[in-house]
Amino acid sequence: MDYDEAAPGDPIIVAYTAALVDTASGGEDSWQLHLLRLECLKALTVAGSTQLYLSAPSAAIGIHPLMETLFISPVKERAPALVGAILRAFIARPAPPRGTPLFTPPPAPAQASAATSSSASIVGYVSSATVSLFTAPYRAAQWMLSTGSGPSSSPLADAALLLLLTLLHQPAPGAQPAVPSVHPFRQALVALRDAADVKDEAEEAEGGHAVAASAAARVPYSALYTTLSQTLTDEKSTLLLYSLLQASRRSLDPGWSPSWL
Amino acid sequence: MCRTDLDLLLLPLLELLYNMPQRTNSHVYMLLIVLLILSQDRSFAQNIHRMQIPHVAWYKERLLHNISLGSLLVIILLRTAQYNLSKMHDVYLQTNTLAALANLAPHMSGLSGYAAQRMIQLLDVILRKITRITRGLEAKAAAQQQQEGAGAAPVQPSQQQALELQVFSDFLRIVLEILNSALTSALPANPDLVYALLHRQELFEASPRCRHRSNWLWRASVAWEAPPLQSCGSTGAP
Repeated sequence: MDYDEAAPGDPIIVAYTAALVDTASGGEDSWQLHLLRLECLKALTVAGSTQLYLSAPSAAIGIHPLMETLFISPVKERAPALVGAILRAFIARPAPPRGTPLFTPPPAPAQASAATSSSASIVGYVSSATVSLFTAPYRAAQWMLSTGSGPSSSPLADAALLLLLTLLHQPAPGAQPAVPSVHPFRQALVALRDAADVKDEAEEAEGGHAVAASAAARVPYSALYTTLSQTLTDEKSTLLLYSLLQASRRSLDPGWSPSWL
Repeated sequence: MCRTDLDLLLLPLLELLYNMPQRTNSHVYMLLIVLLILSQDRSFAQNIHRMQIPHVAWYKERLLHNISLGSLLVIILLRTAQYNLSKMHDVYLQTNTLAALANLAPHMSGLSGYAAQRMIQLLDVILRKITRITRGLEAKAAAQQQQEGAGAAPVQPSQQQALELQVFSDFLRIVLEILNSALTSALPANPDLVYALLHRQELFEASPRCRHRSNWLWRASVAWEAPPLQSCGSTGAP
């Protein structure tokens, strides 16, 4: 059975993809838009993660319908746009707008157990109150000065990076060992173009390759380079750097050079 | 590889490798593979030796001032290899590290004296390990002959000893190939490397396991007698 002739895929996955691609950030987002994009990224990550722990390269078609939807039409055709939107979110690293109702994880178990274990004694009450009294100014200053900037305070960028890595390193549904298969997200990464390179786009449009040129994802290489260099302490960023280098090799082999660097 | 700010990406990467004990194994593997891929690009391997770093604040073992990015990369790779030999004993990590050095070797230019010293130091460490294993085997054979007499069967190394000997011999071969490549391709541009080799040439004379030593001694003597090197002299400075 031809894979594209199977069921059209889960409509909610198609809707999530459209929401991400069609609501690309143009600057200061409202908290509603920011939250929408964050939830779409997380939902797609969960959908694409269902078979990462399989011993086989990939499950048979029909086993993981959510994940398979990502690899068939209409999502497949939007793979370059999706990869571009995800990379731009990673590069921009937008902080959550003020008032975004983000989930705050509960206190660490050590602190919780210390609180509960000391609650039985008056000494525990006094010591925890004293600590709170002395650390209150520090915590207040920390909260006031928190601008939301920096790699650790952009949940949207972190979620975008995780989704991109999940999509890139997910085998295509029904993939067999040593048998080439079409992977739309890897192809989109191989065809990645520099957004600053406007001249290439104009030449390709004149040469009748407008469709191919517009289909390729475009991101600012310089900003991507800077962001990667700032976030290498995170293993996921290092894996993205590796994936980009591998994609560069495939696009320019032989005599390759990492053109995006 | 036309970027002029390679240090923007490489310096954080090298600092992470420098602080390898604080990183997970998977992170270290990825960093090394990234360096391995980058080292395969000729323009990258050439350009890194043209960029000068005024000061490397995070490198604590020695003050590094006005050192080329290429020399710093070589130093960190050699340090990683040496750390792995002494602590981690990871063949995959060692192979990738030496492979990156092998890719960079033909394009090394103006290698600092400190980098050259570390390279010879790595060679020394590998030779010592091989010597330790072979002496252990010889001592075992001598003890067996003493017990069983002249007709004793030859001592066979254990599987682990044989594997260790094979692995370290491969490492030795790769390091010698790195030095060979650097001297063959860029001899006049690396006087400090030649100086470091000649300064420790006893490594080759004293080691019966170094099958390439005659080849190396020949190359070193050619380097010493080469007119360009005699005229510029070696600095021996880091």
